[in-house]
Amino acid sequence: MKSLNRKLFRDIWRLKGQMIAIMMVLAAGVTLFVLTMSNYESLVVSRDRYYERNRFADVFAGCKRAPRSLLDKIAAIDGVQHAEGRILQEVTLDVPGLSDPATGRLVSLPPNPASGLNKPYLRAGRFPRLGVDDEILAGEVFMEAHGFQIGTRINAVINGRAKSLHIVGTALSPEFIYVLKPGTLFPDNLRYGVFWMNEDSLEASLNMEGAFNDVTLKLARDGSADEVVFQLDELLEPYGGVRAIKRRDQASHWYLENEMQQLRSAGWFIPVMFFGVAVFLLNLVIARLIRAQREQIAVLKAFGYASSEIGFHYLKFVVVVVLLGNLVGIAMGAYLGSGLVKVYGTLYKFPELTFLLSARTLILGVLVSGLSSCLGTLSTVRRAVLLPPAEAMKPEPPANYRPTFLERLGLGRFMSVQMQMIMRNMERAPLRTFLSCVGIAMATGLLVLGRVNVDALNSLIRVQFETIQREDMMVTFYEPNNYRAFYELQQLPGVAVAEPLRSVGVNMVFGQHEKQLSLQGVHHVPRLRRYLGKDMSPISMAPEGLMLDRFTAEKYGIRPGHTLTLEVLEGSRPVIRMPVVGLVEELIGGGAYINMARLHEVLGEDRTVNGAYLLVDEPHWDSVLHRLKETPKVAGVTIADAALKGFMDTIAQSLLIMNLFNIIFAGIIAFGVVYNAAQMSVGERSRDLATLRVLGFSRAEISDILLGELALVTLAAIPFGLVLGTLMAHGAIADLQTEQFRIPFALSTRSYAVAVLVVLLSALISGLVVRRRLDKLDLMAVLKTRE
Amino acid sequence: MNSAPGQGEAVFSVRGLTKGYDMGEVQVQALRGVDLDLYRGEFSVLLGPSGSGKSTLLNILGGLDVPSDGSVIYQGRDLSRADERDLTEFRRRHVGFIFQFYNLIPSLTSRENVALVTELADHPMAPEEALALVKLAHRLDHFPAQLSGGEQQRVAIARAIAKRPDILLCDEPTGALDIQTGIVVLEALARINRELGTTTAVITHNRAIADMADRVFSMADGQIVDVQHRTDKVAPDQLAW
Repeated sequence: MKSLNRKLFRDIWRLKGQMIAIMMVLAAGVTLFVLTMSNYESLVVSRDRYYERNRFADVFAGCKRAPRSLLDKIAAIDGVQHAEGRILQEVTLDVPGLSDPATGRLVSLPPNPASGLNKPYLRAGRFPRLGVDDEILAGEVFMEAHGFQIGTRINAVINGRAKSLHIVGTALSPEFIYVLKPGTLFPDNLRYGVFWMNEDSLEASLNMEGAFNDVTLKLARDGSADEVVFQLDELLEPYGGVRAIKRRDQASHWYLENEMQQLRSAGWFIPVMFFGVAVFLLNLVIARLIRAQREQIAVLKAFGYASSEIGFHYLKFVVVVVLLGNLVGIAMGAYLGSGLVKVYGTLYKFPELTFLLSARTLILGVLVSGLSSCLGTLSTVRRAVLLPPAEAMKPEPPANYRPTFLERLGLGRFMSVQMQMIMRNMERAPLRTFLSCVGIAMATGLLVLGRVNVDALNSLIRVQFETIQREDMMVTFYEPNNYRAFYELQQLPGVAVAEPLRSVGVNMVFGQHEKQLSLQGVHHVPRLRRYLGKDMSPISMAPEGLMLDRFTAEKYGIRPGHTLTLEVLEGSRPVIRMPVVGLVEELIGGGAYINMARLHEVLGEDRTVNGAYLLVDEPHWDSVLHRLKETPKVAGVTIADAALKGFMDTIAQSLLIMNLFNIIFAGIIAFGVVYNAAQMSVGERSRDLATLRVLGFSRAEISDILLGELALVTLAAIPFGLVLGTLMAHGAIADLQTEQFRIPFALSTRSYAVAVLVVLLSALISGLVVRRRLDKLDLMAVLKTRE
Repeated sequence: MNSAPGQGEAVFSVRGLTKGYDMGEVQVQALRGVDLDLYRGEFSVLLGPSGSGKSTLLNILGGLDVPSDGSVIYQGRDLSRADERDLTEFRRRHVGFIFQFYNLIPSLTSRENVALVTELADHPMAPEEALALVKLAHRLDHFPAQLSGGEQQRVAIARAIAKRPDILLCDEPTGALDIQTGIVVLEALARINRELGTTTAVITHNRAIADMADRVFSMADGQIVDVQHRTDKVAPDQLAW
């Protein structure tokens, strides 16, 4: 080994504490990068393979009932490669062991499922036999949630008739990677499942022979989705067509894509912050090292080492830290990444979700961390190395101190000598003090940012389930019913409050924009399902005019006062023109709202209902649910609490783990910054401090000077960190706002407190570590060193 | 005018050398027109008080600094016109330095401190051989902190001579040492000069050392004020300290 490299390793060994601290910060960044990117890639690859093999469709459209002959016309649309008609039907299920009714989505299987689109992936058992009308495939998540075996029978109410269904196999589908009941917030695999049934059986049960109510298309390679959607809508319109959607709006795909995009943006943003802090710390250490080794540099130059060789020598410190940091980070990232993939595997169902750590991710991680570190320290190394050798030979001139800003203001006499030393030292190296502050602020900010998910989720749940959805259950009917059906529900023993539900699908037209949404009828002052105004408090429904959810309004530039055209998509399909009189804050979904009486009026109907919201006395829950299960009209019952509990159980552990990691990672930053700043101060000022000891200052007093400076920097940084964290959290939440979900921004006092506590604790620990060094200060040796 | 007529080949030819430093608002003239020749194999001593310009002169001869004006011809090459790369090359191939405070790399052992330099050279001696020359064969694997001042300086000498430099430039090599140790160090220098024929220039403010030189230059106020040829040079252990 070259002697210069020996020097390198011995210097690194001497500085191991600081080097490890920096390496950890860098490793944390690499870990997060590898963790998120590997998972992103694993999801992309698994999804694409799945979509390809199981022929996931490109366009989806529903209708009421269209003849199969129409499929030829659809297939003939320019750009369509393959069109498949099928039957989709939501049915009520009576599931063994479950008191409340569940909802099943029945999907028809073509005679030869292997050749169709959205092919189910058979996980266990077999496909239903042709000609046997009670055999079904069940979605894997439903089976797992209930712990059912193949062979289990469940009862369904199909088209008003009870039917016993025999589960002969379990399956997955590219259409249902994420299984969520439409209109709900969280997956509830106990009460919602997907099932596949032979086409002829389903046709017979629903009187749909020779017809379909859903069509999916595969586009030709050069097919234009927009053009196809337009023509498909035209063809389906006479058959009660609901506007077609492209793959990107398909629910399961959309959730998965959303998750992946979040993963990717977090995978860049957060590691880059860590790399930034690492670069700053490396700069500190390298600059200090070079200052301390001025004369060694001069000697090397005197003996003919070129500036480039010396520069490279110091850059190698960075390279070693980068390599070690990457080694640790990649190992940790791969380990945690393979764990995270398993978590994703429970939320998103793939035939196989294999952990993939590509060379691309590794190279990118090493490159980004390595280049930022090297480029970030290059100027420090260069400046030092270019020092002429004759000048480097002379000891560095004494540090230039002057009275601080506060002293110039005349406040000096109020400060102790120690305080003056602290302040002057901070003011002498303003950039370093500032960057230390930035580093600690970043750590604080990251902690705050890490808490926003939990807080926002809690707030979302609170607002949604305490303020908006005050009902215990939402009952939906298969089709619009007259008011008698509502009375029947209201009269059920145990129902304390009932409120009718009436909504119709409409196509909203505003200028050139068109958008399908649901138009809800709302009572003047609703008691159960309420709607919120701008300040998140419940509002009353005006007798005239429309209200619109704010997200949709903003998306299309609609403001109160604008007039909208709504084409109703059912019944006699009337067209309504009405002004917007206000905006509604919705967290899930969204749509247009109109006074209930006015809705009946424009639809020309007599108090028709689609369902009801019910508030049920606790002791009567089971009996009410039982009665609902037996009511043929009822298509589904949604129980908010149940879904919520199930979901929280699923993600609670992940959230807990994420939180722990966040604390560890942010703690590493805080520790790294404070520890390095402290070591630096001891190194630079050990002579001063030893002199003070000789003059009679106690250990505690000199510790005060050093640690006081760190405490000041930490305390000054924390408020900025809290602000920074809040801003980043706002950004992160804004990033999560989508058409399906609006997450309310929330950060609890507790979260801020956790952030402050973790940072203070990290600072305290590093302060104590450095204090030990200070206590061991060798007075004689320090005073003799010539610097 | 201060150079002496030839006794062999001039390795260095210095003419009209000046060097000024900007010290804030004041211009300090460290050298004011120095002329001097150094001959192959010669042991010369530059004497002078602090601030007389001798370190500046040594730095320029060694290619560590460049003059403000004048020329430094080293075997036909004008160092005053050389750029950074040429000077590095010059130091790497031709010059060995010895400093008052040894300037060893504290994180490297004796052997490694020497190897640091031999790794750069074309035909170096082995680090062990160089350390044996300064009688430190038994201290190969000691770190500077484990060596006495005299031993450290001898490691520095071994480091300077191991690459077989053409010239050895020593800046107060005994300045930080007591008499006994100083003599051991000077003996090592004299031996190298004698056995390897290395042109050696020592700067010092210790007049006694002048007695072991072939030629003695006295400097004051940035100029050479006197040159003595000595035919009666004495061995270091005979020096009247």
